[in-house]
Amino acid sequence: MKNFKNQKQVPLRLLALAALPCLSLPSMGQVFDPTKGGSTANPAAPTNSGDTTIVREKKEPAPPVGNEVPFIDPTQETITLMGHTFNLGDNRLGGQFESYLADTPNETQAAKEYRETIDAILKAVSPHTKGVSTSQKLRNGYELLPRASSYAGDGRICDSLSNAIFAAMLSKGSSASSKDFIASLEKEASRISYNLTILEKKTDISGAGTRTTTSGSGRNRSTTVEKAPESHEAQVITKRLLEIEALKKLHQAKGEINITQAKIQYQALLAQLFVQRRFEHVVIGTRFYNLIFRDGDNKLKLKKNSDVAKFFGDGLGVDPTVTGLDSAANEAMRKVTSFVAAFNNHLAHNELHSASKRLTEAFAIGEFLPGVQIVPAADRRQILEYVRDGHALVKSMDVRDYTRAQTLLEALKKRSKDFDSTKAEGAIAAYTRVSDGHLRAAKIALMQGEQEKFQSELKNATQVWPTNPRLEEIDKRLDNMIDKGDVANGLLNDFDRLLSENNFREIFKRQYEFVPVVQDDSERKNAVEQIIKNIHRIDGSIIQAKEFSKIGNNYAAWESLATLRDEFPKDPELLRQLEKLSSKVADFTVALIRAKEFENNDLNPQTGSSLAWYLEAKSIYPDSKHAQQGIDRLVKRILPEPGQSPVRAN
Amino acid sequence: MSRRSKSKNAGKSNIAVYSIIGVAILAALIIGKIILDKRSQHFSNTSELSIKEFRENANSMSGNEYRISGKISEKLKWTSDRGQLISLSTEQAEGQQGNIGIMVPAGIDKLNLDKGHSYTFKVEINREGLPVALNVKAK
Repeated sequence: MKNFKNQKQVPLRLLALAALPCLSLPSMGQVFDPTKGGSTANPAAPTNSGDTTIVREKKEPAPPVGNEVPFIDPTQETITLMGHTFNLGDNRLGGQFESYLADTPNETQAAKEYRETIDAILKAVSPHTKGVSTSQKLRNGYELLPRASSYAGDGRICDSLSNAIFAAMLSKGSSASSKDFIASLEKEASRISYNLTILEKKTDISGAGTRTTTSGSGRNRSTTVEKAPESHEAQVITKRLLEIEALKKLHQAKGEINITQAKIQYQALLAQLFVQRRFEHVVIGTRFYNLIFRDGDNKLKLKKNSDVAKFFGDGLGVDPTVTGLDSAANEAMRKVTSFVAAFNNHLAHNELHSASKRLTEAFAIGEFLPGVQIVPAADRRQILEYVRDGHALVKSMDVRDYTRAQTLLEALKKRSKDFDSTKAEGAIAAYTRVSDGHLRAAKIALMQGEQEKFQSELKNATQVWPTNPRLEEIDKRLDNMIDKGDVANGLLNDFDRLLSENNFREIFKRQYEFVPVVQDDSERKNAVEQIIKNIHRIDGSIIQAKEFSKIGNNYAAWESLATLRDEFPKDPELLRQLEKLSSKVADFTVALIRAKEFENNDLNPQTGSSLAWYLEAKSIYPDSKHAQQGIDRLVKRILPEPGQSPVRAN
Repeated sequence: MSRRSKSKNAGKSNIAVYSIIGVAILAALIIGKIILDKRSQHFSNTSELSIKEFRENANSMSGNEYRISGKISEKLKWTSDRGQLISLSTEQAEGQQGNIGIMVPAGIDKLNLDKGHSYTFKVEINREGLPVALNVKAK
């Protein structure tokens, strides 16, 4: 009964082991959804809770994004056994499977001998082995169990099986003894019963055993013949008969209980072996069972409505049997053989994706079966590398490192012919585009000085693709802005100081420093633009004056600069050039200066003297604009047009 | 010997006489020339306008009449009713030369004033120091 109680835990273990997710690749349900903006920042909870669950209901369809790596979708990865479908989405097998892939096939001499021993046991106890008595089959098989158990990979399971068989045999032997005892009791009861009969007959003949009693009178008179009280001997015999009957019943009940207990214990072991995926041992055990218990009672003594009972009985509508267990084990072994064959076929065609799935399924079901154990190391290595890259791809997608994901994707495509990259590529393209779009919007916001929008867009871009290389551009730009912030303040101070000092030449010289920092200040910007424009004019005139000087026309040179002097009387370069020319055109400049002085003397206008000097200047340099303009002004003063007042100089 | 001595002294006396006579004739010619020149100059009764002084302070000459001769270098402005303004290029003694503007009122210019021709003007300096022609004669 204790063993049976332990079986309450069996269902979970059974399901966990049978459904151990061979898919070592994790799920991908928490990838950012660009359509939800910032709300997608929180990744979905990982699906690998560690529980293995029987898939009884259809799951909700997977979202359009999030399952980009095709072999990751655990909702689609199932295996069917005994009419039940199991989910392989449990990651707990991942490590074991990778260890298996990294291991070398077990092909030692001891392993070979072990497999031969197991085969020999199966053959010895097979119902198809002819010409051997049942007891001999039992002995043959039983003798091989210790040899199989001596191999480490067996895990002493054959020992456990031996013990169970021995216990069952003892129970069976005890039951046989009880039957013999009951038979002897029956024989004794028969003998003393005969003796009792003889004794009664003797008593009747002698009359000593009866007494006649007459009562009443006339018609109511009656006579009663009473049996005389039994003799002491008869009473002893009767008591003994009762005792024998009680003993018989007692031994009959005891024998039945022993058999039932033995069966329950044996069945518990078989169920446990099945859960452990030791399908060969299950088959061995069931064959022994049939040899030991030949009463035709194969029904598994399982607790009603327990998970184990449901596992073996659900769907069939009949009680689970040892034969059913045997059948399930055989089906599992057949499936493993089929998966391994498919694996080899896919591998031959360089279809690593399908091959990895088949090997995973085979491993999940029959990790200890020879077909799985002898897969060559080179084949395992191929799958291992493929699975590792798959893991890396999934993790890259999971952490939204799409640059690395793209690299891995290309490698996987190159490595496996049947790797479907469509979803992953679509997701990478979508997310990278969304991130780039947010970055672009962030840059525009930055340029327009919209800080909140910039922050929001930058956050979205980072959430969608945290490792987006273009984020570095933004970082650099921001760093530059921070650096420039201090520089900009210094430049603005310099600019204001130079402006207050009328040091336009210095502003012009440093225009490439000032222009960027005054962009947002219209007043300063206009000032810089004006300074640059005017100094370009002055410098142009200076160049022109130098050309005039080269051809000997110093008057023209001087006059071209003098025109600007009135406009820019403080430009040092202009004044310097004028000073250089002054000595060469002294007579001309003296004439103009005197003319101007007389012209501008409003208190005592000297029109005649002024005109004489202008005419003198013009005689020196006939093309003089200054002289001509002065003359024109004076002419208008002397002879104004009708209706006009005489023109006065400034 | 005495004869030869007398002859030499007589020659010397003749040369001196001739020289004196020559010098006297030359002086008479120069003086005559001067007198004739003075007589032939227009508006000779008025003093010549000094270009140098005029440039320095024409207003100080206001109200005075002067004579000035020169070549018309440019006609600055001409009006039918108010006369014209000309630029006169003149050369004076002591190397003084220059251009001055002269206002020639209407009615004065009875003769044609042509650019490049020489004229002598009798002018009066007005209160702004501008020479205003009172009369003009071709030179």
